[in-house]
Amino acid sequence: MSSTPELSQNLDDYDGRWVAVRDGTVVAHGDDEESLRADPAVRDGDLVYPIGDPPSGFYLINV
Amino acid sequence: MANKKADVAIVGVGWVGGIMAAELTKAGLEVVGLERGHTQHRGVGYWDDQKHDELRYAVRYELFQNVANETWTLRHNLQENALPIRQLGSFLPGTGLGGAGVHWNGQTWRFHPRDFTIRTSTIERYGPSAIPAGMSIQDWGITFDELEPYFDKFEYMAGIAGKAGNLKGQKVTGGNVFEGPRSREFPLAPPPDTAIGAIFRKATTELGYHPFYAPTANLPKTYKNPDGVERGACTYCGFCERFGCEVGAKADPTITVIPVAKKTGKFKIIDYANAFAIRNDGKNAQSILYYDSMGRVQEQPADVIVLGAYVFNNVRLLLVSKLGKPYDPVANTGAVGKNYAYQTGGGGATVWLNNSQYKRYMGSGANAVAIDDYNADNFDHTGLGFIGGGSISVGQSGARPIQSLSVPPGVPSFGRDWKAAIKKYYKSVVSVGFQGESPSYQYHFLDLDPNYRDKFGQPLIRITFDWEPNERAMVAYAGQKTQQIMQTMFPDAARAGVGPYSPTGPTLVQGGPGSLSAHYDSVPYQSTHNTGGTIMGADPATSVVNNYLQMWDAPNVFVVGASNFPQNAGFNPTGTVGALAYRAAEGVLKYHKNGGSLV
Repeated sequence: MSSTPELSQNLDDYDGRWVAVRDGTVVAHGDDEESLRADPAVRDGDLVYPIGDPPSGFYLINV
Repeated sequence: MANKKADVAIVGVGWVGGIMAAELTKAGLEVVGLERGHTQHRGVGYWDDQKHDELRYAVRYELFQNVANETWTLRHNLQENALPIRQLGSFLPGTGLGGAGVHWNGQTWRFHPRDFTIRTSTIERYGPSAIPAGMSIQDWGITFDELEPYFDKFEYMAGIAGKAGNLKGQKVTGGNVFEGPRSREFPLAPPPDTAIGAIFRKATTELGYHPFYAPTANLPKTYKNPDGVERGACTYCGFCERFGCEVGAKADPTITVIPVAKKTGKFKIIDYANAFAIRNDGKNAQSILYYDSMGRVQEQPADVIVLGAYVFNNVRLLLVSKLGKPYDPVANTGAVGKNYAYQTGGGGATVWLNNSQYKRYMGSGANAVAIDDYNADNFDHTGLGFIGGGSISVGQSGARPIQSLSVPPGVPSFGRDWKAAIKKYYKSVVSVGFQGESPSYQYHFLDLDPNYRDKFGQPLIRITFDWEPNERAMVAYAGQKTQQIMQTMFPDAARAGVGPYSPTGPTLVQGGPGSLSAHYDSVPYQSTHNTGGTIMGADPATSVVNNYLQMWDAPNVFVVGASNFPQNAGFNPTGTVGALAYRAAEGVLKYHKNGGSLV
């Protein structure tokens, strides 16, 4: 997790990670949503979303 | 030497060109259609010996634009250098008689009433601050109620099967209760749910949503339309998207409207005709200039010119011809090329079932059960950080042997383990899909590329487009909903952990928020729902055409198609394109009779 002022604004650098964005600027990033929202640099109202190919939808089930 | 002057000349003979040709010739006008491709679909039976050739049609793109002749350049922002798209990938514009109407899936939606008034409706409900800086969504200059008769006409011509969810303002359980009011029921009832569709319906009902069978142009039974055209029922062969329909069950311009136009004796089709400019004096158009099959310049004069080609070609013809004012994104002036938009994917969920099979190789392109609870503004967006939404559905459109071999993440892409996984999961992979809106933005636009040209020497269209934070937040939200639905569909799934697939490992459940790539990528196929560039509206300063699709700056030019959308909705576009084509045909008839601006 990082919230330093020198954060890259190139989303390619966050492939597979989560970012928090305020007014179009990346203000923090993290491994997952929960840890990112716990980052004090993230405020209510920031957009928080993952970057990269969809990580969702992986199920193998015994039915 | 110029051809004989026509009453109306149309560029592109797909759904738009076919519908307009049928309506105008029935009214007595002489119409010429210029089609850049050839007459590939000669009616029911033509495909019999070649129809299911996946390599030819789906992999080698037989029915699609040849990018060796004509392509586009792409950049993500003004600072990048745009480069040509050398291979088809993200989207697949059709070519040949019938256009994309030959190879589509048959999903036939009406956009929501709110979609047509999106800017006004968003501000009324959430205030102006809900629209992010740079987002340039705007109202269409026409309402749903005004378009309803044209939706109805398209659906009865094409034989759409479905169940109304809103009949004259009365909500009807079992249909899409979020849709705008219909004047009458669909022409045909929907077919029964597939097995997986029934599971989706049960699960979404339990969750409090409102499932319904998605409106389909794949006939569940024989149908005779108001023009007297009769078509047979679908055989659920599973070869719709990227293919023509050999039994004529899928509504297609070549077997519906084009024969009606030809029967009048007033419709002439010129194939291999690549239109490259509209001769005009800045206020009226005189003719269409095109390259014929020998590469010679030909001219087709007409009283009225209709541009009914694909999105990019409509825009390019106007820009090359210097018709209308080109859009300048920095000064935010002009409108030709403005508000290019696309379709936002991601946010889906997929399951590979270990011990169940659903025979997914049988199906049709629009064979789906859907919910609309998270589309448009059908849910409260307060505090979500985004506007818009999308349709969620589970479909069964077939499983072709080359491109439908889905295996779980982590499975090798070749070799023994890959083969074993294909064998195990071919019949048992199920996806819940999300198809999201694509709002328009000030810096998403089309213009003429200053560096690259097509084989005729004409400049390519340059696309400037990327994913924006609003859509990223929307897709993340949607992914949580599709995951919830999937887990409700299969409650016996044990959450055993998250990790890579292993054939001998534990049962895994992984899901969650959807996401988009760091930048829009033109390589993987995503959607052929490109929109905008010749947008309609109520203000000549911010739109290219009025609500009859008549150019503000040249009243004898009508530009029609998905290029009229000021932004894209969370639905497939064809139903709305069809409605606009009927509306435009009415406009042409009014103009041909009385002249002048119709608005």
